[in-house]
Amino acid sequence: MKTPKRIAAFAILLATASASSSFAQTDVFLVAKEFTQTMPDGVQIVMWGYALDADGDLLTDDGEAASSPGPQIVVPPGEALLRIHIRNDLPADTSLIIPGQTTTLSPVMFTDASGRERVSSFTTVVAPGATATYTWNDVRNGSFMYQSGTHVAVQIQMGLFGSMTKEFEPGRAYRQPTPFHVGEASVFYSEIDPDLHAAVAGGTYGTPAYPNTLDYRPRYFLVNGEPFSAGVADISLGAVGESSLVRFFNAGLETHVPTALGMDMLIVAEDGNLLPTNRSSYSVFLPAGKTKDVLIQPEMPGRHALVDRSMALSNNNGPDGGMLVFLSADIPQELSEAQNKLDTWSKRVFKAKAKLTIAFAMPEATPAEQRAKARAVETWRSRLETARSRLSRAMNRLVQMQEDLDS
Amino acid sequence: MNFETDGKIMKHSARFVFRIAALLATGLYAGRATRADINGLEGSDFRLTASAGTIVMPDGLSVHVWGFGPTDGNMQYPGPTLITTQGQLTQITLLNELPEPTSMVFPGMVNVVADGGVGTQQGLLALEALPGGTVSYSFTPRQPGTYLYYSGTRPDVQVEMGLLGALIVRPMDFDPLAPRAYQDNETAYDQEYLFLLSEMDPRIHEVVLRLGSAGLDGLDYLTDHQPQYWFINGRVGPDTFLPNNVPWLKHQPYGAMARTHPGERMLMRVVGGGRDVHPFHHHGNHARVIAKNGRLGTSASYEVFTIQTAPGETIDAIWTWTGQRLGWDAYGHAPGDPLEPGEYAPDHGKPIPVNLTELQDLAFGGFYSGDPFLGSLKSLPPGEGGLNQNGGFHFMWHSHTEKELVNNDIAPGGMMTMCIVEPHGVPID
Amino acid sequence: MSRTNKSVLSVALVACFLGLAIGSRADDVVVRLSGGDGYMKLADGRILYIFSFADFSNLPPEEVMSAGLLAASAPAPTIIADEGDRVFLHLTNVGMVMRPDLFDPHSVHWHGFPNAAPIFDGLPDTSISINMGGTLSYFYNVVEPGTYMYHCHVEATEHMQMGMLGNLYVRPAQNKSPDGTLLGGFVHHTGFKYAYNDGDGSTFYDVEFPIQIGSFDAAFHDASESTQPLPFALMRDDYPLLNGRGYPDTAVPGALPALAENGGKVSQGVSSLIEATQGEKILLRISNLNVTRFYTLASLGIPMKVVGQDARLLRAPSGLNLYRTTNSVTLGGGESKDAILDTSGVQPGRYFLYTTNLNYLSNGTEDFGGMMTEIIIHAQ
Repeated sequence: MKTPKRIAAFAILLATASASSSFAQTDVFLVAKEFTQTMPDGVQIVMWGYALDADGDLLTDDGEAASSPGPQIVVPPGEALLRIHIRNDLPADTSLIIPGQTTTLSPVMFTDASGRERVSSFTTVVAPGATATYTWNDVRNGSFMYQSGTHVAVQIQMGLFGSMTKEFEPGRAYRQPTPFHVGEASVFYSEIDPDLHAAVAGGTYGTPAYPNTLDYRPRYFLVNGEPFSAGVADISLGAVGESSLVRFFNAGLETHVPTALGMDMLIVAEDGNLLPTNRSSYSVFLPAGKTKDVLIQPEMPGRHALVDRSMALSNNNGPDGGMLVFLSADIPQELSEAQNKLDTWSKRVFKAKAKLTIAFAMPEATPAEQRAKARAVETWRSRLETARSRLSRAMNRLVQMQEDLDS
Repeated sequence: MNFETDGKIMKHSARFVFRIAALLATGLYAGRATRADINGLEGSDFRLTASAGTIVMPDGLSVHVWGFGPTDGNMQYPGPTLITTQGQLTQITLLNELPEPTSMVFPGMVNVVADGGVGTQQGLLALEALPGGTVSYSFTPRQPGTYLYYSGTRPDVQVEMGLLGALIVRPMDFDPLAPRAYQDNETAYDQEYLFLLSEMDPRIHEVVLRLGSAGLDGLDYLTDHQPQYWFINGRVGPDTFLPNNVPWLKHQPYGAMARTHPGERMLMRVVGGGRDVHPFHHHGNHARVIAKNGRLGTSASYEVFTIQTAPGETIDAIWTWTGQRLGWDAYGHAPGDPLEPGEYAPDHGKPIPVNLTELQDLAFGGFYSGDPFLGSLKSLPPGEGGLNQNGGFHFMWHSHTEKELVNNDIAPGGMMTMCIVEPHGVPID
Repeated sequence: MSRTNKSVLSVALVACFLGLAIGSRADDVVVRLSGGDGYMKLADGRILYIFSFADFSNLPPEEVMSAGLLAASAPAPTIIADEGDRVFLHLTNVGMVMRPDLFDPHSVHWHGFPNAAPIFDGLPDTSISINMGGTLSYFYNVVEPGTYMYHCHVEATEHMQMGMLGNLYVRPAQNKSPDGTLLGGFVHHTGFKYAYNDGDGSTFYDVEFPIQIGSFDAAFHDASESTQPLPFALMRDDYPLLNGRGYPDTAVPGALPALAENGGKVSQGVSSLIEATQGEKILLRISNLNVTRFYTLASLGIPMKVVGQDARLLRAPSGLNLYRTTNSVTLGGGESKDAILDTSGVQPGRYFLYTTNLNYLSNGTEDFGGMMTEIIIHAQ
């Protein structure tokens, strides 16, 4: 999917890469900041998210809009280095980790009232108002999430996450035998518990009024940063017969099961690791913090619903929302016609069979009845024969077209 | 189960035993044939009606349910198991007698064509039948396997209300005398059982009964879901032990008790019908997972002792029990006795290696035969045992989220059933 | 690197007390457990009433009744066996000291035992269980290596929520191959250990750690202690645990201090601190015996290679390995996974194993706790 957001990220990255073309590197400039997002029911939620720093200097707030998930970070194939430079405009310490990517972590510990050490951040923090650089020297290809590594129970839920992806080579997500893909899209799940956001924004988090996240109860369920509502854009998979890579992310705290109605997906990778075997499936088991990659080669044109089968399908307890999005595929005209023919003739076969059954059951007590029955049987038998032969012709034609498309 | 000393146990277990005793008294337990088939509607032209009804739970409470049923039969939970054949154009005509629109979706089927005129509307996910309307769906299953169908109209509400069922696609070359789940010999089986897992939060059903689905708006029941009942094939334990179609469970026609003989291959078709993941633990032995979501996986099959059953997903597994390598003879044979079919010969005639504790120190299960050996029945103290007719080995198959083994706070119950390994010669229907 | 842990029942126990066994052999393993009640301390300091087992394999049978009073441990003692062992397990029901009104029987369910017979399966409904004051003997001919678990199956929802849960695993016969044995292209040497009989050394590891996922609903335990009605269906666990402790107690090496509430006995003997030297392979034997929900457990900084699940090597009959590399595994109650963490190339330091169901990084209403532990990689 070529959303404007992704193109923006790409442009920055390409610009940066070309500016320092003497050696390969990827630099991303992010600002962690608070923003307000309006939900479909009009409720305003205070979020924490990431914005791309447009001028790449991290010096001043140029008013860039933050989002959750944050900007998509795309590391070019062959590139080993990723540096994320961040300015922290949040009221709390924060940090960046990418589970599944190797780097040296320097956990931040504190001593509790009983003298025990506990971790507060999985790696070095950047204080409010300060800037820092997080570096990965050996970036693997695959689909990953960058996210806060600090007070994760709160900060990830507040919205501090985004996708980091890298192809094995242009058009191929993983090494062989992973096939090439034409289209590419992301399905990024996240959740919002408005009470938690209000507690953090209102300063009551950590007080008896809202002591911790144990009673987390999400009421908004988002795909690519928005809950479903009428008018949400479809995710385009390109044309029927073309293979698209769809990257699934779950930044929520619960397991979800995105389920495609009317299409199969080939699950090829988990957490950026190629699976030992590819499995075709209409659904993807997606626990908290998980990424999975699938390939979809739509067979039928039109819109195919992708619903969360764990039923996170409401917006703040209102109907027809949540983790729902449509995947749309276009169709070559010729194929569409062949498909319609197949449908028509398969229905006619069905009908003729039913009519023939009825004809066989007709009474034959009188000569008139016998004649009527013979006529009916003859008519429907011949129509069934015709329909069958046309159906088989239509099917052959469709199979031929599919094969042509595949090759 | 210690009836004298612990009021809590007595109350619950007594009810449990009573229901089973009732079942034995009716004689419904008797075998008729040699192989168990899955109960359902077979064919390719199915006529269903969606309507409302009430199911009565073992704890005495009733729940308002919406379900699919055969147009000439009762509403049922779950809906009829639809059994069709690979490559066969399959049509489902749905009449809606509910007070709200409804529809059906068929994950795993490609090119589902919906048809309908007056009395239908295009919903978010599917063509819907309005109250009183009729809609039909047709598709041609390309691959055999275990699937499910459910409402595509506000599925968070309507699946909870009961609008779901299993769809089984037989392979094109299906031979009832040598059945296979797929066109693959690794999927051949002797016995076949469905385990459709689901759960219900009765608060939602009460609101829908009184106010309709719109009554849920603004309530947090769908996001703070609190199920109180957990089902296998639409029944909670111990009703799961009852045979299919007992007259007093008219909306819950499907039993879930599995029976097999030593050495036979049992096909388990496990379906996640609800919204929660359930760990389905099958006591007795491992099972080999041969397919997921109706896609054959015999070349990458693996064994498990708990089947992770995700919402909307299906798993086919093969389970076999032989008792091999127990280190003692499970039949209690003397060394000179003949071998049973399927018996593990190296253990033949070996004694059980421990002295069993004196009777007064033991508590006995209702399904205990009185003897450790397969096929053997021995007397127990008065009032103990009594539910094991043939000396079969009983294994509980249940959700290992053990809080789901209750019916609205009364244990045992919920998402549990038994698998019985019957001695050879005991007929299985 | 090796580690001693007092709560681990060694397979090397001399079979001294074979009073109940028939045809016993010198290499038979005898495990003697009590089943009863006791107390544990949660990471936020709360004292929790529990039911569980305790290990008295080193006591004569007649002393278990008195020694077992208020001795329940969380988790129950870890049982380790070798493939080929004949295990005789004797369970003595010592009763509930704090609940004189309760006369519950107990049982041991070896969860996942292949080709089980009901008599030793511990399921009360289909066989026998042991009343207060009695001892019941279980026999296991141990033929399949892997990560299992065990628990009481009597009044399962209640007794398991109350804590009758423990680690149990079986080491493969391949460990005992003669020095120099060729496993495919892999040369076995004495002392090498494997998760399974893999035939190729692919499940080799240096150090192993049982990690049992659990969680308790403190209100349920309090209701039990004070003989109140038990909230079954509405159980909501508020203390997520690994091996019976919340973070940071999970990372405390060895046993937690003994508690006065149970007469000064140690009740939390199993640490979840994972330690290795850079370059070593760590085997995590992960199981889940909580009774309310699924948990996802992630390893940050060191990928997991899942080589086994439910006490079976992840390999298709064709020989195709189904091992998969991942950041996290998701387990419901009654599931197990064997994950190998390869620390070669991993910088020495402190890493974390934690649930990505991040709201469960809580000890009750306390923050920065819950289902998490530390992985310490030492420099070579």
